[in-house]
Amino acid sequence: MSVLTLEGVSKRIGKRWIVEDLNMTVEDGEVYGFLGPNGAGKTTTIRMIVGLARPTRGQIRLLGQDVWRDRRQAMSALGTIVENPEVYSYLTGRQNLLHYARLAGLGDAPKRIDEVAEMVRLKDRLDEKVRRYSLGMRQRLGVAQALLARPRLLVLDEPTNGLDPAGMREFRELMRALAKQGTSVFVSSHLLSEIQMMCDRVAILKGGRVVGEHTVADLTQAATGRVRLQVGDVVAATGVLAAAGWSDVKTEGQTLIVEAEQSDVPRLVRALVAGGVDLYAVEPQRESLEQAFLELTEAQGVESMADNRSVRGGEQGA
Amino acid sequence: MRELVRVCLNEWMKLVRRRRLWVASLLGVAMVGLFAYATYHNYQMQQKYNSLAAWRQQLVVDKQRLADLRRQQQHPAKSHAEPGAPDVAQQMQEVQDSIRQLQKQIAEATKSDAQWRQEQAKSVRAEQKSLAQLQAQTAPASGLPAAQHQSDTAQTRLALLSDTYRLTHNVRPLPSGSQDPYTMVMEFTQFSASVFLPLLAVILTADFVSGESTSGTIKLLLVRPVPRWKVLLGKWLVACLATALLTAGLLAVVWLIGCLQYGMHGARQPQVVGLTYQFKHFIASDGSSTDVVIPLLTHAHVLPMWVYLLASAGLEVVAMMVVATIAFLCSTLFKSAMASTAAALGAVVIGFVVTQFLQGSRVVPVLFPTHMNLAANWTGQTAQNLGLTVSLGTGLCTLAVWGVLSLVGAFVYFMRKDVLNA
Ligand SMILES: Nc1ncnc2c1ncn2[C@@H]1O[C@H](COP(=O)(O)OP(=O)(O)OP(=O)(O)O)[C@@H](O)[C@H]1O
Ligand SMILES: [Mg+2]
Repeated sequence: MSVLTLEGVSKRIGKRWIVEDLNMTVEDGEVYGFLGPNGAGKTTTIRMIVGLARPTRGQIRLLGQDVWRDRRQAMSALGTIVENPEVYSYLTGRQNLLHYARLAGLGDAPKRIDEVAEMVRLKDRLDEKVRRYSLGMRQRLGVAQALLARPRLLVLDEPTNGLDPAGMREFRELMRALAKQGTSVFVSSHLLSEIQMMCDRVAILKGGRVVGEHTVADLTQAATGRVRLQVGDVVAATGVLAAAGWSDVKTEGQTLIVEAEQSDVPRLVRALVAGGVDLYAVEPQRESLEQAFLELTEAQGVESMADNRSVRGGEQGA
Repeated sequence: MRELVRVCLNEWMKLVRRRRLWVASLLGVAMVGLFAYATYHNYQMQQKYNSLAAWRQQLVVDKQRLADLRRQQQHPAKSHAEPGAPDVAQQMQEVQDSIRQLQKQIAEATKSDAQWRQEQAKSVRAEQKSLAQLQAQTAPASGLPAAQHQSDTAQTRLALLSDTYRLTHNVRPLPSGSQDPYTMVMEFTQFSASVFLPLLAVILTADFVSGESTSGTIKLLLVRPVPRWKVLLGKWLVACLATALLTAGLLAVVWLIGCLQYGMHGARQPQVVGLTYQFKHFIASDGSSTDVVIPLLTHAHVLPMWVYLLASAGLEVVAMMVVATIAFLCSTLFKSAMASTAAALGAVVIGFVVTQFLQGSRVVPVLFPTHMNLAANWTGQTAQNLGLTVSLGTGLCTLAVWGVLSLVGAFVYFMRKDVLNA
């Protein structure tokens, strides 16, 4: 059974349709990425999934239960962070977790609190006021709070904001471990590398519509018809290639990028060797998720430069 | 039910760790301290000029002066009175009056219980007699004379109520110039009920929901299996509980301070309750107008002071819970804690000002700030202040309507709203 299904979900605020006709399913034990440029509607969608906002049209089901009509059953299967992990800064970490445990109706709260604190490595600071936590520690507390009630589905909106590289890696490993134990994860992000390393499938959202749903493997394995060559003498190599009929050559330092099909590679290598060029490496160029993402979102023709730049900026920032 | 208890436990845990509770409590305690000081100051002034000891001292002084004046009268040659000063005979007359007055007061204060009972019985009999006379008269049919007759009858009855009570329960009036914890609580309620206590209730509760919207933690409350209405109900219950505790606590502190400073007396003094007034306005043919105030005694009865004060503390708690509910509505309507606090404060302060401005208008009884001191509604004081027939029932109904409407508004809005940018 699928853990989360969205059927024709649309949301209108005022006169604007923020998201339109979303259809998605998240399966058991799957890590599902939700990717989109700023303002695409990711947070709005997530707010509808977790029952904070009501869809104008369509239906959202968690474990087969409607989020609005069978709220109790639906919500007991859910753990979530929406945008920033909000915490009560005047309470200690433990009191924060106790607060959520009470709302979740957890029976063995104290034991479970220690368990999740251990999971997110917050155990030694748990009895301090949250006011004194760093951003990353708050993030961890947010994750702990989401994991507290042993959810079947985690819905996370940009959960790695503010984590250091080690923290991010820990977080990824935690997500993968949870997925292995059967927890599904629905995670939005504009950190493409993040999604690439963590997710099984990814939906790309653009202007409130899903413009593609792919497995991450499909997106990144596709050959691009380009070959990267690392050579000793760039000028000589370019000359040899031109003579052999490959005139479309780009140069990046000691690397040449040549438009060539996979089947042409042997012929190309023979030509270079015959021409006396020192050849250090040959590899087919794979598409990165970033390129796939940009192609998919730009294919719609309405993407603004500002949006692109901020997406790239986000990745560099990480 | 268990879920609701858990929600309430959460809210309580947050409340006691927030600064607002302590700010409100400190303000309250500071106010009580100032009030106790002012009361003590007044008490000392009274002791100095208006107590048995002061009268006796004054009596000695007056007698001395009388003797001096006599000497002056006998030896007028020695007098060096300035021209225009009242002549000696007149001065002597005044001093003698003062002495007589003081002697009467001293006698009143020092007479034995048996004596007091005898005199009290006499005055009760006199009142009964005049009441009988009034009733024996054929009442005028209508108009001003009828109203005046009605008023006289009711006033006599009212006086009889407490005088009879004093006689049957053997309660002497407290000596003049004295102070007691019960009067102190009553005075504190009177001066703090219209603005100060509502202010504390607002400080305490006006950010109960909006505070969570401001910090974004509202999202965490609403993504749990607990239904929204239960989250809100838990918050409201805790808001009301906190307000009730603070109000009752402050009144209790005033009473305790009173007990420590002045002793425990005054508990059995009579207090007439269930009283309201009717106001009749007559314009004579020559254009002059007369107002007649008629006490309505249908539900009037006498309570000992301590029962009256316990009940009025309860009423005050109810009134403050209504203020808290109105502040609570503001906190669900506004996303910013600042805005909701300002709105609730505005409602209290503007409401108070409006009731002061519109005195006598028919709108006033339906405004909630009119009924902040329900105990005064009970004793008829509110009715007298407003010049309108307002009873405890009117106050309770008005506050109930405000409270219920606010609560329904808060729930309806909260159940439906999308949490989009918290
Ligand atoms: N309360 C609101 N009222 C009106 N429009 C809104 C509201 N909240 C969001 N929007 C609009 O909805 C669109 C989607 O916003 P949303 O926050 O879902 O984007 P997002 O994909 O999460 O972006 P980001 O990557 O920046 O977090 C935006 O154009 C935004 O302006
Ligand atoms: Mg967002």
